[in-house]
Amino acid sequence: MARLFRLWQKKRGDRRTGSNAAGSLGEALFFAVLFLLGAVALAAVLTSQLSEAPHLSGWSLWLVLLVLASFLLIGGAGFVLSLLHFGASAERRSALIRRAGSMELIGDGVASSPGYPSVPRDVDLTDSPGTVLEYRLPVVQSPVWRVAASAVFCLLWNAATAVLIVLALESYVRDEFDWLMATLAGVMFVVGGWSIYHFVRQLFDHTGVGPTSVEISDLPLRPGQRYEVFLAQAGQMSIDSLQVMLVCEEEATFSQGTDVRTETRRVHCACVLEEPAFTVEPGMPYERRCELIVPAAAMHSFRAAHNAIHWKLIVRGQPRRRTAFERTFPVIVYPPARVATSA
Amino acid sequence: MSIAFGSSHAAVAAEYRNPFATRHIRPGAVEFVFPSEESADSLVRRLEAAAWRGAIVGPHGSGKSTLLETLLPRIERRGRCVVRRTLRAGQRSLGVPAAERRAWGAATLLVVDGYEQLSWRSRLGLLWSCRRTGCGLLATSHRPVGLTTIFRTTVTECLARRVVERIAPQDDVLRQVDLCDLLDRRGGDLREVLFDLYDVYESRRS
Amino acid sequence: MEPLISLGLREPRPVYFPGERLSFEYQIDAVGPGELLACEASVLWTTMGKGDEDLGVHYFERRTPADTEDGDLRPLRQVEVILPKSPLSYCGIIVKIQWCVRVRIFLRKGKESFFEQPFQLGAVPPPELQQVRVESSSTPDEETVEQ
Repeated sequence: MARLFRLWQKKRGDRRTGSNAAGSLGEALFFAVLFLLGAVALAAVLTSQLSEAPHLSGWSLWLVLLVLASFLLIGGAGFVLSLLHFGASAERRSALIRRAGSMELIGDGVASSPGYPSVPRDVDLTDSPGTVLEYRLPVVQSPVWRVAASAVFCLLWNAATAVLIVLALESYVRDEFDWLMATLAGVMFVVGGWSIYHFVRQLFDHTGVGPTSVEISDLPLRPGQRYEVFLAQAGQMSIDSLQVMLVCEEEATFSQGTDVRTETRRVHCACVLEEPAFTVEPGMPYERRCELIVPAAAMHSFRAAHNAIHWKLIVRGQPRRRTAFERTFPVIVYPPARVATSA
Repeated sequence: MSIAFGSSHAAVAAEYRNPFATRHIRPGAVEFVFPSEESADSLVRRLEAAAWRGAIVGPHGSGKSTLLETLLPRIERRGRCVVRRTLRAGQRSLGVPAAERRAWGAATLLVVDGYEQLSWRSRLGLLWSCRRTGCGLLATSHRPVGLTTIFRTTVTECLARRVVERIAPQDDVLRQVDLCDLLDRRGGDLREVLFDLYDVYESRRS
Repeated sequence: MEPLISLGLREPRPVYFPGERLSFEYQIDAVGPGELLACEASVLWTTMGKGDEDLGVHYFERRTPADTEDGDLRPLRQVEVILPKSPLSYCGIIVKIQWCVRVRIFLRKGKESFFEQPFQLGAVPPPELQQVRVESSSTPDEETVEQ
């Protein structure tokens, strides 16, 4: 869906100009400054009210508090929302929203495929047509919540730090310097600085790698059959290596007593595509086709209440000077087509 | 035609067999191994002496749920009507409707496995319900919870060896592993040790 | 004395395939006819391994004395079942799926007894051992374990 409001971008009809990334970053910075302004000003007002000669009283005090609190709320919420949208296309946001749905594919409440008891349904995999091949696979993992959590922590911590710093300065101005508070503010300032560094790093790791798209020529997969896979990696980065792997994992959940223990064991891992170093340019996704062979002796996908066998395509990349990324695309493997005729 | 016969026999093909599989080690499938000076009956007597209000305290994987499975039939034989609730991680309330609580009586014994999961509010509500109805309470917990501790489950190397020998009496799996080291690495969690032995058994197969 | 359940696959094969016919027969001995309250025969799969056991019943029949002409559940009985397409038998590392025929009898005074005969559906070979990842969540202080 198109966004209605955007700072740092000119609007001409429905078309928008300027750098999308710069627009998002500017927006995030604007809200962060608003948040910090609200936090610092609120702290200053509250501390001044504690002094012997308060500057504000009555309705003017409440009005100022209301305005500053709204700065705090709008700034915080706007900052987190800006981050969630940063570097994400409408399709990608849509995929993230659909993630919950695609996870249900391997969840407890999933019905079996018609005629194949205990084999998960593949309807959620086949409802998205591909642009090059028959089906576009949904991605199931994205660390966007980590970035959001990191952003929230960063905002709250630095707001608290700002309040403490204001209180410490206030005590200094009144010639009642509180060393304990100043030390605490110093320690919190260091942690706040680390949280900003950690958050910025996570943000770059997350947004620096563009969306990965995997399409496949047919679904469901059958043991011993060959399929065509199309991989598209968008973004703007240099990648040292990129692998596409076909993986099978057993998953067992133990919930006796009060323990709930889930163990996963990888029982098959075959490299489908291995690419050496390459560079992805903006608007020019890196695209490759490759062949996928499902082993003839493969066990089919299986899902019961406590046990499961999952098949998935995993795209693993190592961007230059950045943290490696991994994206998972579940697939369903059916039992071999052979059915006895002697019945 | 091949005919097999027997009684109460769950057949497992040889290649599927692993004595440390869940079906063999889950609470109830294996009897609790008591220290020499204790027995199931002595614990039930202790619980009765504490007006049917007590706790089994011990760390993860030390056999609290297994001990419960061993005790409950004996408790029922003493005329107590057992109502059992198992709390999983993050379950802060017991989730028992008020109507059901009202049905509890002096002969009821409420068994709460994982009592430490309950919030303080839920604990107070539960204790109040038990006091009001005269219902007994047996809890398992990782820490003392203000009830009489009728038994502390701990795992020693000797006890772990006895459990393993009971689960796989004819197997020499213990010759392949250093049980003391395994227990140490698993922080005394016998359940994790048994899962490790599952893996040892599987790797031996391959 | 324990009742004796005799259970056999007719024309047994090392491997059965989906869509094939599975024939089995069973008989109850060492118990009086009045002792048997009901008899159940089922074709089912169970999981075993490191997870809790799951079970899926493909075929099930329950017979009581009222279902027979002479009220005797002990004589030999034959059953034929067309096998399903899934799940196939699988001897994995931590997940195993085994098919079996199970006969369970219910006796007076609440007693019951059962007997199983496993069989192989499909020919999926066991996998190779590779990696393990364990996630535990029993209490808030529990940690994720990486091996």
